[in-house]
Amino acid sequence: MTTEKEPLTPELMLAFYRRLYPFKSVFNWLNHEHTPTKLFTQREFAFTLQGDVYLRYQSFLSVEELKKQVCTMNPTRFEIGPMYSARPRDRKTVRPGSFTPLLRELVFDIDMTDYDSIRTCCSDAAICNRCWAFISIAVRVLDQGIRDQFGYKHLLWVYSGRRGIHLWISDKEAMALTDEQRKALVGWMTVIQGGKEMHKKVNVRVKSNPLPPSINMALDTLRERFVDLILIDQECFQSESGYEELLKLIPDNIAVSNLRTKWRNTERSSKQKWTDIKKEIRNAGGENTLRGSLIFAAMEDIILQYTYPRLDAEVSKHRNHLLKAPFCIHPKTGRVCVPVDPRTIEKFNPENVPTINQLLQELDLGSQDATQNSEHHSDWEKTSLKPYVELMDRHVLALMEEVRKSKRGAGSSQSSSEMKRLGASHSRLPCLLGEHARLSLHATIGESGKACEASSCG
Amino acid sequence: MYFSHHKKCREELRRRFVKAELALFKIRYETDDREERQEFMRVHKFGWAEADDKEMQLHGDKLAEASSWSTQAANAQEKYYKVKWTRVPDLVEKRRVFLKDGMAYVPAREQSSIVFQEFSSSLEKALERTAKELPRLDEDTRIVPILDNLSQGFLAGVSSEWTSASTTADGDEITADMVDELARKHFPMCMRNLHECLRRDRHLKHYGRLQYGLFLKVLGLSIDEAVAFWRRSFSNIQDDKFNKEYRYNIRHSYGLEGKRANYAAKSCQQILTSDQPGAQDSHGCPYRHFAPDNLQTALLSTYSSQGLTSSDLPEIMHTVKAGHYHVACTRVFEITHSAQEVKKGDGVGGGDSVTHPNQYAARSRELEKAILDARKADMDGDVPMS
Ligand SMILES: [Zn+2]
Repeated sequence: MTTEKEPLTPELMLAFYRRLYPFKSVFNWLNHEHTPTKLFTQREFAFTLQGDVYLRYQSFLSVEELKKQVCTMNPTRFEIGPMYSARPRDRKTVRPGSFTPLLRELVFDIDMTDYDSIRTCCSDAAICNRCWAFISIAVRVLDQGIRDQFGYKHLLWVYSGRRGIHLWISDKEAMALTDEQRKALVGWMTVIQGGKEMHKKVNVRVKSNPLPPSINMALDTLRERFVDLILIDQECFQSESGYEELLKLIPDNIAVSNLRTKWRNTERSSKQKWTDIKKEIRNAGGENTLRGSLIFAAMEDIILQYTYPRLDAEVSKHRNHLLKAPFCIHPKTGRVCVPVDPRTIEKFNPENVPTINQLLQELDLGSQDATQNSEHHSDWEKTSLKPYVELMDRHVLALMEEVRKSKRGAGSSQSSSEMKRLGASHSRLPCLLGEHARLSLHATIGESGKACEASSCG
Repeated sequence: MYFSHHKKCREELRRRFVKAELALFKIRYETDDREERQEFMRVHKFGWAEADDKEMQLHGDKLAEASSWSTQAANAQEKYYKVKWTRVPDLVEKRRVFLKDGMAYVPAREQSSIVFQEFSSSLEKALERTAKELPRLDEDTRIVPILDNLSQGFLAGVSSEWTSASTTADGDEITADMVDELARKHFPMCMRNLHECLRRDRHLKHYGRLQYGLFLKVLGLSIDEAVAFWRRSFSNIQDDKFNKEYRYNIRHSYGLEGKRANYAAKSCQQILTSDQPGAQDSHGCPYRHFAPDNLQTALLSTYSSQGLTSSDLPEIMHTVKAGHYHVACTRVFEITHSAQEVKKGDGVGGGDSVTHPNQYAARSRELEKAILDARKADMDGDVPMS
C-alpha cells in the first residue's frame, strides 16, 4: 500500500483537528447522552505528542474542553481508556486504592501481522487489497458471533489506519464487564492457539467430537471464503513449504504419504490439492470410517487455522487498556481511522480511505476560511470524510435511543444537574501545555502525568 | 516477607485466600448429599431459570453438542438451566455451554460450577470491601505479624513460588556477559528456547521478555545488568526506541516503576496455563507448546552436547504425549546432568520433579559448584585422609 508522500506536519494536524475532526460525534459515542456524564468526564484520554512524548490520565468536562485541549497540544494521535471511579486528572487527590477503572467499551484488535505465517502476497508492515480479505473475514465472523452468542448490538468497527481493525462494543452490559468476564469472552472467541513452534493451532474439539455449535456456525461462513482466499487467491499450498505445512495437519500417515508422492511429481494448484485430500477420505472408506472421519475433522480444523480471526487477546482482557480513538490520523500512512460498516466489509478497500492531505485539499486550504480563530463545526461535510462521520452518527443514534429508553424505564436521572455543578469548577487547563514542552523524551507512562502535576502551576 | 506491605501483595494474598476457601467449599459441597444440596440452592436463590420446552426445541441438538465435553453421560431428558453468561465466566471461557443472546444454557449435571462461581465472587467482594474500609490495615503494628503469618501459610505448600533468596546459595550476582554461558550449561528448555530466539531475532515479544526477564532477575541479574543485557540483545533497535519502549518495562519488572511490585518469576504451572502463546509467540513450555517433531529437533540441538541422544527421545516424547510435561523436563535434567552423577529418579534433588525454571537452573548450578569445590579441595590437598 502506498503511504503518504508528504510529511504529516504539525500544521496539517492542527488544521485537521480544528476543521475536520468530528469531536461531537466522538463525544456522543463515548458519553451515550447529550449532556456530559461520568462516562465522559471520568474517562481517560492519553495523548501522544510530537516527539513521542506520552501523556496519560487526561480528562475533560465537556466536548469543547476536549477540542480545545487537542488543538492546544496538537497530539499526533490520542487514545481512549476507561471511565474511572474519579476524574483521571484528579487521581492524585483521591484516596489511594479508590481510583479504579469501572466502565469501558469491550474492545478487540485484529492486526495483519498475526497472519504473516499464512499470507503469501505481502509480509511485515505491507498490506494490499488482497490480504485485507483476512481482516474482512475476521470482521464477518466476530461480528456475527458476538451478536448471536452474546446478544450485543452496538458494535463499532474502526479501521486502524494501516493494517488492522478495531472493534468497540458499547452495550450497557459490555461496558460493565469485569476483567475476568472479558477474559472469559475472549477465551470463548479464541480458536487459534499454540506458539510459533506448534503446527496445529486449532484444538477446540473434545476428542473427535463435532465442533462446538458456535464454531460450527463460524465454519459455515469460513468454508466458502477458504476456497476463494486460501486456495485460489493466496495459493497457500502451491509451494513445497506451503503444502508441507498442510501435510503436518493431517493425522493419517497413509494419506500423507500418498499425497506427498502425488504432489512432488506433478504441479498441482492448491485447489486441486484440497480435492486430493477429499479423495483420501474416500480411499479410507468415507467419512463414517474412523480414518475417514479423522481426516474430515482435520480438514475442518485446517479451514479454521487458515481463516478464523486471530485476536490480540491482551487488548480485550483489561478494562484499562488504551486504544486509539476513531478518526485519528495514522502517523505512517496519513489515513484517517474511519468507522467501517461490517455489512459491506468485503467492499471496503483501505487504499480508498481518505488521507489527511486529501481532506485538507478538498477543503481548499488556500481559502480565507483557514484563519486561526474561526470555528468550523461541520467542515467535514464538505469532504469525503462525510459518509464515515454519518456512519458513526447513525451508530450513536441507535445507542442513545436505547439508553434513553432504558432510562425512561428506570425513572428520572439526577446526573445532569450533578454534572453541571461539576462543570463549573475546572481551572487547570493552561498548566498542561506549559509543562509538556519540558518533558523529556524518556517520559513514560504514569511519569509524564506526574511531572505535570508536580509543577508549580496551581 | 514482603507480602503484606504492598497493595499488590495484599491482592495476591486475597486471591490465595479465596482459592483456599473455594477448595474447602468444593469439598464440603461435593460430599453433601443431593437433598442437602438442593436445599442449599433453594435457600440461596442463584438466579437461574429452567429452560422451557420451546427453548429446548429451538436449540435442539446444539445444547447437547455444546456439552459433549462432559464426562458424565447425558440423558435424553436432561434439564438445562438458563443463566446470564456473566455469572458463569469459567464455563464460557472453556466453551462448555451453549450460548445464545447472552444466556448460557448449563446442563443440570454442571450446576455445581455455577455455585462455585457465586461462592468465590461473593467472597471476593466481601474481601474487597474490607480492604477498602481498612486502607491502613498494613500499617497497624498489631495486625502485621498476623498477616505475615497468614501469608506464609499460603505460601507454604504452594511450590509455585521460587524466591531469589532460595536460589543463589551465596547470593552470587550474575552479569549480562555471563548469560550466554549460563544458558548453555544450566537453563531448562523453555529458557534455552527464549535465549536462542532472542539471539536469532534480536528481539522477543512481550510475554517472552516477561518470562525470560523475570527468570533472569531471580537468577541474580541486577537491574543495571538486566538493562545492559536487553540493550545489547536488541541490537537492531535504536537507543531512543529502546529507552522509550523497553527500559520502563524492565525497571517495572524489578519493582522500580508503576505499582512497584516485586514480581516473582513464573512457575511451570503458570507457564503451562496462563498467557497461552499466540501464533507468533516464543514463550510458554516447549514440552507443551511445541509440535512433537519441533520439540525433538530442539531437544537434540540444545542438549546433545550435554549427553542427550536420539535414543532418549522415545521415553521423553512418551511422557509429553501423556501430558506430563514436568516429568519430561525432569528427565531431560537427569540425562543432561549424568556427568554430575545424577541418575534416573534423582530429579532435581531428592527425587523432586521440576516445578520452576529457576529451581532447574539453581540445582544445575549447585551441582556444578559442588564438583568445582571438590576439585579445588583436591588441588589444595586438604582432603581429609581416610
Ligand atoms: Zn497482500
